[in-house]
Amino acid sequence: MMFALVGNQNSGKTTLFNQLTGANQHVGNFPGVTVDSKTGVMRGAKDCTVADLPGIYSLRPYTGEEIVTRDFLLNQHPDGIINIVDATNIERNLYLTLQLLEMDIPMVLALNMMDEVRGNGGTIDVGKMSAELGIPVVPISAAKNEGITELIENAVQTAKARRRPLRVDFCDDGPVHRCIHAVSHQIEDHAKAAGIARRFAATKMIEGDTDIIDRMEIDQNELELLEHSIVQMEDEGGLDRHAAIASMRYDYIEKLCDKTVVKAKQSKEHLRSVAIDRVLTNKYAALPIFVGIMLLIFWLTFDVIGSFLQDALAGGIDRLSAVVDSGLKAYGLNPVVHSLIIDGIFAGVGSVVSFLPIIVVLFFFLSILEDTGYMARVAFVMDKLLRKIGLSGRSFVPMLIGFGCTVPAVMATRTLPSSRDRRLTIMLTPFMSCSAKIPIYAVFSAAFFPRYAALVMVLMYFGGMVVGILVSLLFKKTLFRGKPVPFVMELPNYRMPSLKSVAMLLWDKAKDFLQRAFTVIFVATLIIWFLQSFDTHLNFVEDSANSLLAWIGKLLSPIFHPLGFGDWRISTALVSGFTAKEAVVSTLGILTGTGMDNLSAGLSALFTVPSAVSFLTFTLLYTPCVAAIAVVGRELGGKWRGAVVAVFQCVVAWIFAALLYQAALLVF
Amino acid sequence: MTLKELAVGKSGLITAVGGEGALRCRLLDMGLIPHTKVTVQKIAPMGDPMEIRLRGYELTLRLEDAEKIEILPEVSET
Repeated sequence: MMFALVGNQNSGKTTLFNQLTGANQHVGNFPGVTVDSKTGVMRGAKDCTVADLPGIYSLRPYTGEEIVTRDFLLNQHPDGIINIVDATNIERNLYLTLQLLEMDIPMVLALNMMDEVRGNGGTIDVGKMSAELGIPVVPISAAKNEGITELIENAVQTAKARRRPLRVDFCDDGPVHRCIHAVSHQIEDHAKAAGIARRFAATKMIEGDTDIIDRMEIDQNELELLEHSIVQMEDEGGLDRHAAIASMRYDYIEKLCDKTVVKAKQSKEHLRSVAIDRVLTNKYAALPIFVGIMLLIFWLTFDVIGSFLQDALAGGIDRLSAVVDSGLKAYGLNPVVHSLIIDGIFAGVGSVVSFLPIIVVLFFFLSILEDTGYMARVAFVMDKLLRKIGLSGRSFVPMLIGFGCTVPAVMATRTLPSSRDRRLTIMLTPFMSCSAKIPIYAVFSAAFFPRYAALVMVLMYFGGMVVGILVSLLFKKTLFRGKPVPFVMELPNYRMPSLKSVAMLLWDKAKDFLQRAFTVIFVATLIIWFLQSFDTHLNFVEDSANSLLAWIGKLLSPIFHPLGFGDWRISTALVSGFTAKEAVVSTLGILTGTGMDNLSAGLSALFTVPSAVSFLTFTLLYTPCVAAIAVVGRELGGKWRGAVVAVFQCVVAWIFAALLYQAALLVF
Repeated sequence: MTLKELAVGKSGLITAVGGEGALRCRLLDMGLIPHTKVTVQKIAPMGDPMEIRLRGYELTLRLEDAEKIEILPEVSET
């Protein structure tokens, strides 16, 4: 049997899913969209799977998440729905419940956070609510793992007996009632033929839901007849169709709550939230606190924990590689195969693994920010800044993470509520200068602008942001012209994050990265190894100046003539930067023959001041490293899209570098 | 008057919800329907968006959207 877990955002749905399934989870993707589809086997019910559907507020066909949920319920025909409802915010949560009931699928209501309701002196008459709604209602606390067994038992029984909701009708006598019933009679046959519950089809018809209308294949004549009933309802009731249906649902909910819910006078959690918000979203303190929190996270991730773990991992791999190295030497293995193992495979595995600590540590902090409710406050505080470029405050944190590393930044866009925002944010994140580019800036500042190193650094960061803003304005007018999803966002009460959920998320992210990015990064490293180690006649080379990579660099160098750096060694360094940005500097060191110690002198021979400016601009903006491209491709839903983004970045980089080169020629 | 003009700490009853398309449906879905009581809690540090309380929860929306919601201000008891 298959169950669908449906509920609002912030209702504790993910926590409940983890409680229902334990570690038996499988993460996939809904076809065509990058919305996580998680399924798992229910605890103690081996033949029952449950699918965690996206958190939504309504079943309208507007956001990708709503469409995914609808399509799942309409096309996959789950045996039962588990609808999780936040009991502390019951009115708005029940709004979705009423729409789910209309779908006429066996359903159980899980009243979550009942411990909070009771703790504040409130009560909910579960029996009465169950009788009113015509479905089992089970009080639970997902965070405390209470009531889960009863929930599973109820869900399994209801689905096994195919007990459909006893009530699907929520309207009182009046114009809305008459209209819904008139419409549902008229469309009865169509709905049946399309396999859609009649009542659901009728209300969606009235709401003008074109997807449902198309599914039912209603012809023009019938549509006009139906339209007549709807217009009559609007005239009699004084509310247009959307407001009329929404009011009908909320009216029913208010009556239901009057009968069954005794609200707490005051909620401790809410008072606490207000008190915390008095500081965290304070007019003067909000920004400094946010900056402080982000700096702390960056420092801990990149300087303390992340780098410690990274060093430990790298050390381990180095030691292993050294042991294998000496073993292979002693054995007298063919030098080509030896190089493949040490410089290819070990380096490849090393570069993939080196991202892991940063991803895990960063997501540890991010999931805490998200689960506590602070991320919503950041969106609230930062929204005004991002609105002008066609995004909402929600995109701020992922873009900020981009200054550390593009890989987790792009992965963090998963929490954005609309796929349009998600895609636009992913396209812009690579413009945020990642920390691996710092060595390039440092070396060039030392060589060409020794007295203005700090200024160069600041200009690089701001330059990336400015170009990002320009690009987003361009996108807003072209690719992403569609209307942004409205920024109407809930600010949930602050809550303690569930350690289990955080741990599960970390595990997911690490696994996801390794599974999806491993092959791409690994293959790319092997290709670069191959290019570095062989010449055009496929002979093994000792001097990298004779390698295929240098040959490609020579081929590409004319492209960079207009930018002022047509030397093949520079284009070769840029190509090697594809695996990791750190490689740009080290390759320049090798190819100029100066090594790292005397690189300034080597660079002075290769660059003039204007061409250094141009080169810095180009490296700031050009293709992100292969790990980032792999993740971009994954999140945009196709490997080729990652490649398109990479090419696009290169074109943008070329244009800006050419412009700045010309400008610099005039100045210097 | 509109929700945008309601001062922080003041409440009002919604009389009409304007706007169109996805935005309007979203507002209705979130419970902003005629006769609902809303209280303005806060304005974001940069002056936009605003935070309101309704139906026992907090919601944030932009001022340009709040402008499309007509309200009847509650007479203050002071």
